[in-house]
Amino acid sequence: MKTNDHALIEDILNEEFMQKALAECGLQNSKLADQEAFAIQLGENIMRRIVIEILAELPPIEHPVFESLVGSGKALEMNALIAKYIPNSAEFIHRHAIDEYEATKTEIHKLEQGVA
Amino acid sequence: MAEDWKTDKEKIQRARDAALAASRSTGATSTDTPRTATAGPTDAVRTAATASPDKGGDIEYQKLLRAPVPKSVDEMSDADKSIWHRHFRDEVGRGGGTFEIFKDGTKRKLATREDRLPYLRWQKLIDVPAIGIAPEWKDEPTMHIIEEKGPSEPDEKPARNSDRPIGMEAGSTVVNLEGYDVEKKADGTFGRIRMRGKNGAWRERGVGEAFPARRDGVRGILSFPEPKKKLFTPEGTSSRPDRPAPVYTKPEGMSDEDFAEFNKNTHEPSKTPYRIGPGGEWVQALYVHGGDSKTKVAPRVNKTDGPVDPSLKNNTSWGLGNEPHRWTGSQWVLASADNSGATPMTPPAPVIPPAPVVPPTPVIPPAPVIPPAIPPAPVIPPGPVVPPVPVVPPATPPGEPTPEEKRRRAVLDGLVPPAQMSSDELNAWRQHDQERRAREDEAGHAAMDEIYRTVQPTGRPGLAGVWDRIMFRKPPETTMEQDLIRNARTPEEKIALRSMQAAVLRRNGLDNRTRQLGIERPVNSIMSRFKGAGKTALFAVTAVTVFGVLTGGVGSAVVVGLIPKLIGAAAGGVMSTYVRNLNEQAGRTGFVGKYLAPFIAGLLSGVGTGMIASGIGELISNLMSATPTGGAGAGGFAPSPSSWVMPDGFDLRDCGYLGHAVEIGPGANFYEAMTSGLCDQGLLDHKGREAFAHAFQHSVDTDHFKNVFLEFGNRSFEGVSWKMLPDGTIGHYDKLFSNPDFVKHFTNTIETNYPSLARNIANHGWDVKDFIRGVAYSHGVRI
Repeated sequence: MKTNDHALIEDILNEEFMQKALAECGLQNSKLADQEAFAIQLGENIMRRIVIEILAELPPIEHPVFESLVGSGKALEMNALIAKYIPNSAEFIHRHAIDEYEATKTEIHKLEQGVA
Repeated sequence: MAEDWKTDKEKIQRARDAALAASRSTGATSTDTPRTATAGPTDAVRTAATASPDKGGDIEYQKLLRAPVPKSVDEMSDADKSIWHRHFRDEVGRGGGTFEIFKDGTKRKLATREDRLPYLRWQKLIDVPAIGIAPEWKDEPTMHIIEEKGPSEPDEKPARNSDRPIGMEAGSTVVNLEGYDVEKKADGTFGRIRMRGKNGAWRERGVGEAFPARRDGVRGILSFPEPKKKLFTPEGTSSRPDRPAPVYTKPEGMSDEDFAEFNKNTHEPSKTPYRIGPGGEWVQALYVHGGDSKTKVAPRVNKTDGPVDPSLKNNTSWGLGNEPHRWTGSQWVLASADNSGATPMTPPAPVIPPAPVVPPTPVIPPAPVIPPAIPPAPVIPPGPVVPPVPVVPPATPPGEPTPEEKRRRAVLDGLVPPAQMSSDELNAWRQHDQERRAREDEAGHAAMDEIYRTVQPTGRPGLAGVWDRIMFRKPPETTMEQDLIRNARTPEEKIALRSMQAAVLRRNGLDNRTRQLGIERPVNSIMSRFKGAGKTALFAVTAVTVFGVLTGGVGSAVVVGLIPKLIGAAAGGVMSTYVRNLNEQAGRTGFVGKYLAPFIAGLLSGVGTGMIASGIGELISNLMSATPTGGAGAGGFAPSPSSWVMPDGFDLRDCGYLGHAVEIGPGANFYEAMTSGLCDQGLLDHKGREAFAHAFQHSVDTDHFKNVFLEFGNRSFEGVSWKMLPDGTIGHYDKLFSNPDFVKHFTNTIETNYPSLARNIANHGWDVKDFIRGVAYSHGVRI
């Protein structure tokens, strides 16, 4: 019995752009479960990196504030806090998210060369 | 077979009793029962050999032990229940064990499994905790049984919980404890102890006061551990009536400010009052013994950084005495309320030290004129090396912090982002932060001490004591990686392995950066909030959003099209607003890249989490179908605006990995992982949570699923104690929840043997079957 979260991920994996990204990582022919595991781990890494980089830019005195806003549902306050210390926050997050994806691809290629 | 064993055991017991009786009558000692050889009739604890029906035992109790175990607790008479409760007492929490209590007030320790067998037989039937597992006793005080036989007061009867004596606070209930009654207040704290007297009146007993004997001759004394520190509250009000807060007279020569600080600090065991040092300065001192000639003083902190009395330097025997206010040291007497007869000694006039010679203010030489920088010549000949221009520190007015000091303060105060700190500054800030947190922890502990000072409930080990032993698992990525390695047979699988390894390597790199920045705590705290079933979808959506942005323009499909499509009809409340806003933004700007930041900010702030969580429609709607909360277009579950985020109690941490083997070892506590969601999200209260885990363990035990659940080589775990599992034992939750027999038994166990838990579940609108289905789902099993 499939539950909705797996159906959700399956749908995501079947999207054209996701197929393209998986192809870049060499996973286009892998099992759905492997693709799913990779996408989840990659997504977590991206999220983690963004959290780390945001915290690195915030002074420690603001860390508890940031923590309190996570999960609070106060998206506007969250955006305001980030924008206060990271002027171009959209570009900042965008850059780190893409960097993380590219870094993962680089790691894959390194491993590929080592394995081959 | 079992009967033969019983018979043999009884024979052995009788033989031991006879030998013991003979040895007592002759005064001889027995070599085969060394403990009993020295145990006289008045000893508090009897050994197994001495505990028998004809040696002060309880005939009714022995009969009860031999009687067949009824199928239901309802078949037991109240008298039998009373006997049972009276005769078994779990004292694991006090480091003792399980004891059998006898009529004459003696007890014997159930040291072996054989000894505990009758207990275990009946424990299954009666809804009291197993050995070492006493959740309902966890927050209650402990009644210690005095081993002497006191006068029996047959008129004293334990009161029912609903029987509130006159004078009890509103909202309080009576907790029956070993046949005595303790007032439990509405806020969960325990008040005075009362017991019913001969005339029906309630008589109070304080801590440490012996109670009259019960009908069975056993006497009890309510005992709370003595507070280990902090005899006085910071406010100066004594928490112990026998130790009133001292009131000091201000010595001559002490300023109001210092005296106020003195009074404040005197009530703090960690701090000390002041005395006058040889130079006339106020010096903090610690007191050793109060009120007699042995009182000694030793300097500890020099308040004014002045000189320390040299006569006290060698006095190392210092510490906080019980009565610091009675100090009769050399400088003055601090008269206290309970020492009104003492004659305060007048302190010697403070010797005013000569004013220190202030060194002349150094003349700051004028800053040298820095010649303008010479522009580099276009062609660099190998000419003489121009010496670097000396860096001239800016002149700092005396009394003002230097820039270095300002920078250091800013770093320590957390005003400088970690990314802008040098390694030394990072280390300094990290140490400062740790010290600050340690101080906060200490303050927190002090507050807890304050709470527990009056009444110190005796904590009994709950399920965690048992479950901690088995509920450790290895990190999820390791599990995933190992699974991939194990299964990597085909080229596609090897590619998948590489990709996964790369992702794990990246994760390790991120962890390293987290450590370098010294932000492990906030990062881990934040990331731990994305958990469970919602986490997998959340991270997948995060990744796909990035991919959408990368591919240029397709991201709009993610934000505007894909998410609403996937979340579908479950969209409601804030989520629909969020998606609508994104749609509007998309139409206005048409630039995909701008949506990643708000999308992730939304995820971080919980909007996305709730969005995804509420999108896990099937599970949630199944779980919540019995209690639809209404709302627009939500099917079985529609979150209200105020609670639109699904309390995903089944979103147990890392559920995507819990379907794999769970191994003992360093890592997360799986008991917490399994049950914290249930409790934290309000699906079950604390007791319900423990009862649920208890029921799980109980089902595994009684229905012989231990060998299905646990794996350690080819070893069989049938009959092996949970406390004796070897390190490296693997728990297969997926196998267990995939087994329909177990699920059926587990359901029946909760419904039959844990009625309170079943009611707790029902109060949330589920039946037990749905509840277990949700838990199984969290372990990656669909049933």
